[in-house]
Amino acid sequence: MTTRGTIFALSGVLLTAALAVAAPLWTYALTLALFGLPHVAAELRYVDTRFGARIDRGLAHALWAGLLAIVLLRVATLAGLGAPSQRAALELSLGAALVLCVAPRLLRRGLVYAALGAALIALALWAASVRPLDAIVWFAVLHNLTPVAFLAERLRGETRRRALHWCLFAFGVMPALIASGAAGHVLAALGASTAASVPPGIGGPEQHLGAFVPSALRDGALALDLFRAAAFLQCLHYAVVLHVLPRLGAGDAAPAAPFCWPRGRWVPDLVTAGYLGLAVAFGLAFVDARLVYGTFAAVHAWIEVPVLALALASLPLGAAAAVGARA
Amino acid sequence: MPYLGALLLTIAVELPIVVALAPRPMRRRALVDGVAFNLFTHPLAWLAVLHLCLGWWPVEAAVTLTELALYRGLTRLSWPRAALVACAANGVTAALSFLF
Repeated sequence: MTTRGTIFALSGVLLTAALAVAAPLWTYALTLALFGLPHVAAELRYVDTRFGARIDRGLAHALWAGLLAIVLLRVATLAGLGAPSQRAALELSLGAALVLCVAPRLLRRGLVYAALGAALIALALWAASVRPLDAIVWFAVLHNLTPVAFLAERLRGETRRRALHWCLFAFGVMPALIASGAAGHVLAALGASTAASVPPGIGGPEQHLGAFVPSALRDGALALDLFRAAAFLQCLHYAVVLHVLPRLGAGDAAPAAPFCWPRGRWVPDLVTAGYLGLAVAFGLAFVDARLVYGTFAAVHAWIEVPVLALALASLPLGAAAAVGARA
Repeated sequence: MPYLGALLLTIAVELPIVVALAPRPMRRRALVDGVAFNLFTHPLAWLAVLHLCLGWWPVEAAVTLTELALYRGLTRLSWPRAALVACAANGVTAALSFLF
């Protein structure tokens, strides 16, 4: 990275941190409304181009079936069907099933990878049976770290080492300092207000803390600091997915029959209309719009669990493509 | 002790140990990385022990393992050297925490 790029990136991270600490709910709500849906599309596109060749037709069908079930669960949420904890437990179980789909391939790579897959499945099932709602919150928070895994998987050599140093600073040090309250103290000492002001029309903080803060921690003084750290991570997640990953592209991934992304002339108009529609919906009824967005977000978040498990197992690029085209 | 004081004390104690135990050509890198790793693990450990009420020993062990992995993965110390650096630095600060 050039000196100019370094200064730009560093300024961006520090400014984002200052905004997330000074106005966490504004930062969370505005970035979600403006960049939420585009980042889902960009991330799915990256996953498809980078990892598509490693997923054969049978595995793709199994994963799509699991994802469809998760979408139906989210639709049930919109319809108010079932208890929230039951839906969360079912979603976690479906997540475990997605990992189960790639378990045979992990086993072929070795016992360590198989043990990793088994641990992921056990963790999801344990969370589903013990504290499903909190587990979904932790999953939402941890999902913000996936760009680190994507960069670690995509880059090589010194570039990779440098990128991971940046990630340690941006995705590790800064959130840790914000969550501990240290960043808030620094900002307050500089004279900035750190009161939790709320954008008009989206409800009180209590309606939003639950997006990133588990129930057991929601009433304590720590809750707002944890929310600040998660809002900061959300911004970084969007920045890397929208700005960095598309530039990196598929790299050395073998060309595969890509997912059939719609190509008609009407597509840009439709996508723009959908994006603007949801952005307006966020402005009119934030909580309801977030539920709709959550359906799209769940698909892109859950598909990455088995995909990253496969990536970790470093399956040879293009091996699946040689066997057959994927769905 | 206030949090920032604890953080600065930890860094001040651990860095000389890290630099002393790192191979000579890698000392500068280990110094910079050591600061970064402490800025990452210390606030989280503070949160875990004081706010989440997790046990001190498991948290200290998790911090040591995390720093071991970071010294190996990012600083590129060998596994034995990374283990030595992480265990020595955290061992000393852990012992000191009983005094302060």
